[in-house]
Amino acid sequence: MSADATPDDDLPAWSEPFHGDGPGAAPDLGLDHPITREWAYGDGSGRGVRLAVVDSGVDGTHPLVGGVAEYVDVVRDPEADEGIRFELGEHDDLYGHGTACAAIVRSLAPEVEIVSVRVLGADLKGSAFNFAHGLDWCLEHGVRVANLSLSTSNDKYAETFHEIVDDATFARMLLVSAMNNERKRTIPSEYAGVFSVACAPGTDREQVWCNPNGPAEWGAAGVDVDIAWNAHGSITATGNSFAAPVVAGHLARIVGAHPELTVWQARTVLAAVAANAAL
Amino acid sequence: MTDRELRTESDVGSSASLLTLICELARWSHGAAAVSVAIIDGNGLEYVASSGAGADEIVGTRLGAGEGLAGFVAATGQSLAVRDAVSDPRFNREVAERTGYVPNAIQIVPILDADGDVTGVMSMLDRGHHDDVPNDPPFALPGFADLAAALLTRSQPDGGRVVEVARRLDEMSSRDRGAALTAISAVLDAIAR
Repeated sequence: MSADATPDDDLPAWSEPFHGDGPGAAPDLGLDHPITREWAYGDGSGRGVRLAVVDSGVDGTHPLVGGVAEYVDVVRDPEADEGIRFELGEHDDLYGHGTACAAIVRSLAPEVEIVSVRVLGADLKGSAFNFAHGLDWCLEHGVRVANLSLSTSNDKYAETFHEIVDDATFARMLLVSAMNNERKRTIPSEYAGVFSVACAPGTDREQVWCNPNGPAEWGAAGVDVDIAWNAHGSITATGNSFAAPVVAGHLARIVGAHPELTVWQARTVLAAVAANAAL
Repeated sequence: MTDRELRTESDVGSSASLLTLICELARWSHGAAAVSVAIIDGNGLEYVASSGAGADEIVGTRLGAGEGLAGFVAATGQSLAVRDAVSDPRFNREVAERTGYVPNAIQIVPILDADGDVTGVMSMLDRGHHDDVPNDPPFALPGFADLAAALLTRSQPDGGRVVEVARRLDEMSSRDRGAALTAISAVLDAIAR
């Protein structure tokens, strides 16, 4: 099977390997009894999986989101310990971006438990600081899969996010991270420890592509896709941001069916069910 | 972890005319109806330079956090291309109508400072609006955003020190200036090694 869309100058950066001739074959274990989608996904519900959308907040009342189990707002506060405060309780989505991501996840894993971790709020300053603390919160609050449709280009945070990604890996928290739409530093998306995602051709969310050469290791629908937005609306948009939650949804199915999987095991299972597996 | 530092308005003001030239070059290169630059100021955005349709009206306009497509890009750091802008709920029609030009297509890219933090956004309205364009634009829009970033970075405190050193060199006699330049070059060579 090969990717079939025509290369497009307007594609988000890092999406090129998934277009044209595609990324080639996903790694093949050569098993006598290959991993099947039925085994990998179980009932495909994502039941029992706590999945964080680390973003601009989530509108839990949007019909396509289908409810939010828990909200936390990560707020800068110079008076607070470490300069950050965590506000629990329902919040809104100022931009619609997090709502879009949550709805995509829900469409793939209908029984997943969505947690909205808001790190992009009205404060336009220092969002990388909030982002890092939001991930710390996830680590301390039992999140199994975290969708990160945002990144920072700030080198000052490189070490901080390296530590977070390592901690997440050993805590079996799967970090799904959208590559930047520009060809710039993209932290933590470019790290090998995360599931880094760019846009693949088409709009079918059941298809995930594996690019073993990275740094965009996974491809999923994100070009001209219909997504949920503010005010219970929807828009058509393009961006790696909307491909990442597709991968997060597939991973929610996988760890829902196999709760004990490590990060590297989940990566192997996802590659085995990728659209370009066993070419 | 530390927060980024923001420039002051006066820093930006001294660069506004050069930013306008960058907007003009970007607009011409892509045959666009307009190109503008807005920078983060407090918790909002302020348009500081523009070229093309509505340029005079947009400069000085402020957007609150989360307002419009530009506010979205500033907050998320993610670029955005919208083909049917007026139907997009993120589009701020009020601002567009104030400028007298309502675009069909908008492309917005973040302007990053030296640390990689978003410091502003560059917006292009209706690429291909004019036919008289070069065959090969020197940059895509992100390239022009990088130019703007370099200009804005130059106006930060370190850039001020460079200007101060240049002024002092100018004030020296030619003989002293030659000796000073030799010394500075030796230091730069040592750092480069």
